[in-house]
Amino acid sequence: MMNQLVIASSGQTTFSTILFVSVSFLVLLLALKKFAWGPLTTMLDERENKIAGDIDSAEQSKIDAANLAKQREVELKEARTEAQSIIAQAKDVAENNAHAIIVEAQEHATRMKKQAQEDLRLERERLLADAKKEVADLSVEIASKILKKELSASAHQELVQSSIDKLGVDDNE
Amino acid sequence: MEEKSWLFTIGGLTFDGTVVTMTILTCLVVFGLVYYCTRNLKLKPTGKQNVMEALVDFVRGIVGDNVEKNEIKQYHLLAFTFFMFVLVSNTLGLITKVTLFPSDVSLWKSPTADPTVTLTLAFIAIILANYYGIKKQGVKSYFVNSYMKPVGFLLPIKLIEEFTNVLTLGLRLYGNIFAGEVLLSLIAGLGASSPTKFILALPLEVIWQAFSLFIGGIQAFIFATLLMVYISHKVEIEEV
Repeated sequence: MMNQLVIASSGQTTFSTILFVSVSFLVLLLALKKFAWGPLTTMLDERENKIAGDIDSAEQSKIDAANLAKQREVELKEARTEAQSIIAQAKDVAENNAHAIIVEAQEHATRMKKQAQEDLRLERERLLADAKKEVADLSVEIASKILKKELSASAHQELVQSSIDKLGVDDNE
Repeated sequence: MEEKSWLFTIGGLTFDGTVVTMTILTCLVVFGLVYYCTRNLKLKPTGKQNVMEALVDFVRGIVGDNVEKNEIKQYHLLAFTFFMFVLVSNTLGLITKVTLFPSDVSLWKSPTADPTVTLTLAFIAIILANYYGIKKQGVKSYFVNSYMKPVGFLLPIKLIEEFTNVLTLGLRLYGNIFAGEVLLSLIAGLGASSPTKFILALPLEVIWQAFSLFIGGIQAFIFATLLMVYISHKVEIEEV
């Protein structure tokens, strides 16, 4: 009974069972190794590598993104400074231009005014001269018309001469 | 309660037909399962691939707890095969009982409910542990490490320990699975005796089957763990 309990049903099968179990275990081990283990562990390794690679690349991307953001910030700051300097420069130029235009306009105006005054003076002189001539002619005509009847030619001549003299005085004024 | 096996003889050797059949069946189931689950492997796992990877990872955890990280690959397949073999064989016996009346020959049981089988597995485990120890350290260093440390006079005890390891590893498994099956048969026998008892025995049988399933898993886990513990004891150089 004791013997049978420990060593299964009978002692005669002990060796064969040991042999059979050992061999079948070995065969199972080899079969698993040949047909299933390779692909499975390869796949697991591959996934491990892929995950590690993904994590690495994600980290790299993060660093890149941070660098890029920093670069952008610097560039933005530079651009802002540049824009400010451009605006300031433009303002300066504009002010200078405006000043120049005003000065020129003032000069132009002064010149125009002088010209106008000159013109006015010349015109006045010309008008005055015309008027003198007209008055002389008129007075001669009037005088001759009156004197044709009442004065002699000698008187006439005298009057004309005095008028002309008077005009000459006026002329000297 | 005694179970008789179906015996047959080939070339002067008498084989235990039940154990042989069940061992073959176990191997086929394990191989079929692993083979089926490792077809069409994808980087992004789905369904059956997930199941197999979970099992492989689980065993990887057991191995990783006991040996150094770069040595895991070396023992992974071995531990996995042991684990699957023990797990499946523990579970197979729970499915049914086939007994040939009136000679009381049992045709269906867990291979691990036979002490010869479990002792053979334990023996393979210990042999492999010693083999890996010699392979890694060389004969002399292995001998010193395994048997002369921490002190030389422990040599006889250390030698005996090798045999007790085989016995504990094998008989623990046998005891658990055999006891489970014996109780299953007892409950089944109780249920068969009368209709009233059948109703009583049914939930008992269900509960005990669930518990045996659990025990089977635990024993497979323990077996794989102890295998790795023994291997790591032999492989790793103890520092004194």
